[in-house]
Amino acid sequence: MLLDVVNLSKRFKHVQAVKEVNMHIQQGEIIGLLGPNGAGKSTTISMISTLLKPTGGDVYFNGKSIIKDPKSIRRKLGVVPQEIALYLDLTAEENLQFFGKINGIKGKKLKSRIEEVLEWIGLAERRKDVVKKFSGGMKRRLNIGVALLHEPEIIIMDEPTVGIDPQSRNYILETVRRLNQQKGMTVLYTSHYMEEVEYLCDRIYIMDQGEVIASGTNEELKDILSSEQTITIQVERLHKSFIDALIADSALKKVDNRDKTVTVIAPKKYPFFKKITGYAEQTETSLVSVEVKAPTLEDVFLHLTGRALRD
Amino acid sequence: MIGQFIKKDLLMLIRNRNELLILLLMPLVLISILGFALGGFISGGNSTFHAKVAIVDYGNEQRDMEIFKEQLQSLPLASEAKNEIAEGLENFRPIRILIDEMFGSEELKQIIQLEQVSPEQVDRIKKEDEYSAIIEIPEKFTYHVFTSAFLGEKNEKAKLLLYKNEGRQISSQIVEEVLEQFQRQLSNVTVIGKSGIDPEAVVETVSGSIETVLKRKPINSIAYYTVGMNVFFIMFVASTISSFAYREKRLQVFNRILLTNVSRWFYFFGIVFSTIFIALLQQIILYGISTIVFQVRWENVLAFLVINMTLSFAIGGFSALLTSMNFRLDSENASNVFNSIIVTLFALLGGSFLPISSFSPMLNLIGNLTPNGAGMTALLKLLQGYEWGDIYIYVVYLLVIGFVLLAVAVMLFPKRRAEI
Ligand SMILES: Nc1ncnc2c1ncn2[C@@H]1O[C@H](COP(=O)(O)OP(=O)(O)O)[C@@H](O)[C@H]1O
Ligand SMILES: [Mg+2]
Repeated sequence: MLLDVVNLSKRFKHVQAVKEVNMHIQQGEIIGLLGPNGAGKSTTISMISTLLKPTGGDVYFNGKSIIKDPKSIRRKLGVVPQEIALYLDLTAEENLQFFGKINGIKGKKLKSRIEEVLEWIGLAERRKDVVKKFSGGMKRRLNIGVALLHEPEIIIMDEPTVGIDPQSRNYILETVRRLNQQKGMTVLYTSHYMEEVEYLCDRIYIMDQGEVIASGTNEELKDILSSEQTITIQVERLHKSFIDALIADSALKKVDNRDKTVTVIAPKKYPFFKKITGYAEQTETSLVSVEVKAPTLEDVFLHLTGRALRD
Repeated sequence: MIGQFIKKDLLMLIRNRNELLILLLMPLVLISILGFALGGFISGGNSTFHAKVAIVDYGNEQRDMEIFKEQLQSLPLASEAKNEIAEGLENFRPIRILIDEMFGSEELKQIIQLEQVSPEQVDRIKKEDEYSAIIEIPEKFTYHVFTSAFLGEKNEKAKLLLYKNEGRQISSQIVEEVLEQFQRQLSNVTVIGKSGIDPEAVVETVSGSIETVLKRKPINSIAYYTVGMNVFFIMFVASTISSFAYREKRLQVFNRILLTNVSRWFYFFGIVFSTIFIALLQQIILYGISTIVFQVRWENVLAFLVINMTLSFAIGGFSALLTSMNFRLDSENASNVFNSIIVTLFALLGGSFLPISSFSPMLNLIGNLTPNGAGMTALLKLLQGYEWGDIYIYVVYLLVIGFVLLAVAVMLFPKRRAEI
């Protein structure tokens, strides 16, 4: 194992932000850490990146405790913070030079590293522009670039796509994938977007309220829902009585509604069509559609916590 | 590697027009406005030197004069001569001349404030430190002056008494010289018919010696405000750099720096060095421009640099303290309060706007306790031609301020308790 997270815990004054988290990451894997805001992802990542001292447990990098020897491990980590941790008044190149130099990279080596990184993040043409003038996506790319300068073995990314347009997001996802495939880089990818994690990651840890509530490959996670099906109902107008009727049905496990869409989790054998049309008639609700969806991680999260992943 | 930290702070400043305006343009504009508007000379003495002198009169000039007149009538002199003397008497009031024309002259008034006190107050005043000297006019002083001047009777009693405050050597020395000159002139007024003394001549001779005592050159208002504004605006370097540092923390740049194995203390002292360097650079640019544009010249360049380096060091201390407070409070408030309130207050007390230290010894003391005030006093003294011996104390004080601020900042800077 490249990285072993063992019973990692963090207690702030009033919050138990992380509870006994266990994670194992192998060389070359892309690992996803999925969870809603406040789940404890950033706190976990800060501990793994040696920035925050755990109140319990430890993290082992190649078998060595990061608490005992944070200095040598930092060289091997590339950390992409959740914030745009850059000097906005400096150009892309000046940022890379600054962080490269304080990383101890010098002269020709630094020059070639900066060239390579700029190519990787697609900012070679914009190297002389101050970061302030960059789009959100470009800033995020440079934020990743800085973490790549010292050729880390593992790159740890904390929500690297927050607040940017879909195109920029795709660019970043592709970059992460290329880094993994072409450079063999191990990736720990944190997000509250399940599509990203689903698309990118070999294995996923789902976190909620400080705990890992499920882990495994995409398929393994969805198998949690194997005995169940997720039904999406669209209505013309949503009556509370219709929702009440669904909730009253003890066979239905979870009911979640948003606008004119209602999602329920039902056992595989549940005669859903007959039942739901029945409830609709009783409550004078006109149905637009009723469909059984392939389960998503969203559904897995809903199943496990009773809450939607996104707030 | 410290160079990298200084370089990025410099780059950020250069790219920030607002910061540049505040750090470089504003002081130059204010120097021109204040310097030319208030024009002429602000006596250097005002801001750097000020003495209070008490005068107490045990006699009665009017009565002395009457007694002398009576005596004159009974003298065996030609009535023509008597008339001439009587006429001379009308214009010859030694005490008035001393108080109004000598101590009242522009030159002396600016450095010595003469206060008439009653005999009852003398004992109390002697115990206090506030006065540099006490001049006592003995009983029948005027009478004795008259007899010696008009009748040629050399009289030891025609002498003023002076109590000097040993703690205030320079000012009491000036007073002593004034009295000596005054006394010498009085004793020269002997020839009947050439009565009267020339107060202007006294003041002139004395002001020559004031200059030698103070080794003072006059300071014009341009020079005064060049120093005043520069020590004012140097303080903004502390708030600017500490704000930069806080933004580094908020945007996790600080974390990113720690991840390169740069220690938090290296980072901390990077801020201090960066502030010192940028403050010094700012001062050199500002003084450079004022030398060319306003002709404010520094003869003792070495002392000039030493004062500015220590002032910059004290500013580095402020920068460190503000950074620690910002990090601790997790906000930019400390820097903001400093640059919106404290800097202006310090500038006011330190005398950047007006030589307020001349208003009272208390204000003078408070002013010199502010780092900018201490720096300003030192630089003005240097400009006036004082020697190092009169200046180094401010340099020492600035170093002390810097070290104390640094020590407090180190104690306040969040330790790695929560971090690995
Ligand atoms: N420095 C801190 N002090 C106190 N509470 C904190 C601190 N950092 C995070 N928390 C709390 O810990 C919990 C987890 O936060 P975080 O790790 O940032 O979640 P996520 O990254 O998944 O959104 C939240 O309730 C948050 O308020
Ligand atoms: Mg987070």
